[in-house]
Order: sequence, then structure tokens, then C-alpha cells
Amino acid sequence: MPTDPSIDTSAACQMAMASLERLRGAMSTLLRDEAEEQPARDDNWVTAIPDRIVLDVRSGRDIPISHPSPNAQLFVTEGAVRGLVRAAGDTVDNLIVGRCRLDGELTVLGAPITVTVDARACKGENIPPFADKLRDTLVGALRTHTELAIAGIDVIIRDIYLTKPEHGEEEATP
Amino acid sequence: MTDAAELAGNLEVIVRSVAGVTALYPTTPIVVTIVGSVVDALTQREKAPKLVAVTTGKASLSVTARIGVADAASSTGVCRRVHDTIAANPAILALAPINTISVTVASIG
Repeated sequence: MPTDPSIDTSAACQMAMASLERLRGAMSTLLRDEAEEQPARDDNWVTAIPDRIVLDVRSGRDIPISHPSPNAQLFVTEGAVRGLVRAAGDTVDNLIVGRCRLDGELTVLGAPITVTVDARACKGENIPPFADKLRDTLVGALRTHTELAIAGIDVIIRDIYLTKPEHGEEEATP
Repeated sequence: MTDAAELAGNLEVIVRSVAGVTALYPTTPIVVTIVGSVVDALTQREKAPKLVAVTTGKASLSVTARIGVADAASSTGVCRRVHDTIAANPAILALAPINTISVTVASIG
């Protein structure tokens, strides 16, 4: 397929591509393991993720970055921050981040912001510490890249569909 | 004296050289870019999306850039460095007083 400069030079398209590549990588291993163990079922949630990615990579609001010069107008887009949240969340093992929402007056420096993240976790994870680990990861990424005043990060585990290989059982088998 | 178009080209090279900058994106919206690409294809014009915009007013100029930032860097720090690099450019200072320098981080990682 020939290259398309309008895609290659679009931040939104590049973020969507990166998200889809991470999703494909995760799904190719995790879903294969699950498919071998589970009967056929409705996979609409899988097809919904790319739809959410397309929505989330839109630039959205401009989030200000402070600078002492009165001539400076510095911003990070809401879409870039949502992409950051998803990419950081996907670094947590056995978890796929779906929807991400930023609530609050994003365009006002210092205004309290709440981050809401939908995620899918592997069966067998202890959800509360798992959510805390995701929160810590997201706080670190947001503090590195933004000046957002994070009032809270709500983690919603929507599904527990993905199945890890039961290595413990394999090792226990003589 | 450098004109605005030449300055925009020079600034593109300068912004790309700032540590932590991974990409430069067109300052025009994606729809405008796509329409422009179609027109360029139909008219067989050379494709050259504007990556750093320099606009001159009555007695001042404005610079606009949209950048991608490496995940390992800090978007706030890189964004400020890009601003400071543009603001300190001698060619800009020689052309006209600066009205605004707008830098937007459009992607991270």
C-alpha cells in the first residue's frame, strides 16, 4: 500500500496506529490462550476498543503548559494525554486499557481533574492492588508530561475475559 | 533579511533538533490537510505540508508548531525548550517583534 502523507503527518492517526498495534500485540497472545480454553462467545467488546481509540485520539481540548513569557502559548492536547494514559496503562502486565476520560476544566491551569479509565483484566488478578498499580503508573506518566492537578483516578475493570496460561498447574504436573 | 517562508523552513530544522522532539505535525487541521493532499494530487503540485507556521501582522509575527514528544522525555520541558529555542532565534528577532509563539504537543511516545 502506498504511503499517505496525510496519515504519516497526522498526530491523531499515528496515535491510533500505535494503540492498535499494542492492542494487536496483546490480543494475539492473550486471546489465543483464552480461545483454547473457552467456548465461543460474544466478542463485541473487542471490536468496541478500536472504536473508542478512534474517538479518544481526537485532539480535544488544549491543556495549558505554564511559561513565564507573556508571548508563550504552550499546550498539550487532550488527545495526546489520553494516548499517554492508554500507552502507560498498557505497560501494566495482564491489562488492556479501553476508554479514557478526563473530567474537569482542562483549559484552566491548576483546575482539579479526574481521570476515568476503563480496563480489561486477566482472570486471576486481585483487582484492588491491580487498580492501585495502574493508578501509580498513570500518576507517574501524567506528572512527567503534564501540569494537570490530578484530583483522582477512577479505574473501572469492565471485563475479566482474558485468561493467562496456568503455568503453576503445568509445573505441578509430574 | 529573511522572509517569513524562509524563516518557517529554518525553524522546522531548528525545532526538530530540540532534544525530545520526535515529530512535527502540520499546523492545519487534518481535514484541511486531506483536502489539500487531494488538490495537490489532482493538480500534480508538489506536496509540502507546512510544519512550522510563521505569520506576520502589521508590526509583529506569530509562530505556530505542533510537535510529538518522546515518551522518555517530559512534554512540559520539551514544549518550553521549543518555545525558548524559537524565541532566541536571531532570524526571528531580526524580522519583527514576536507577538505569540504557540507550541502544542500533539502526541507523546
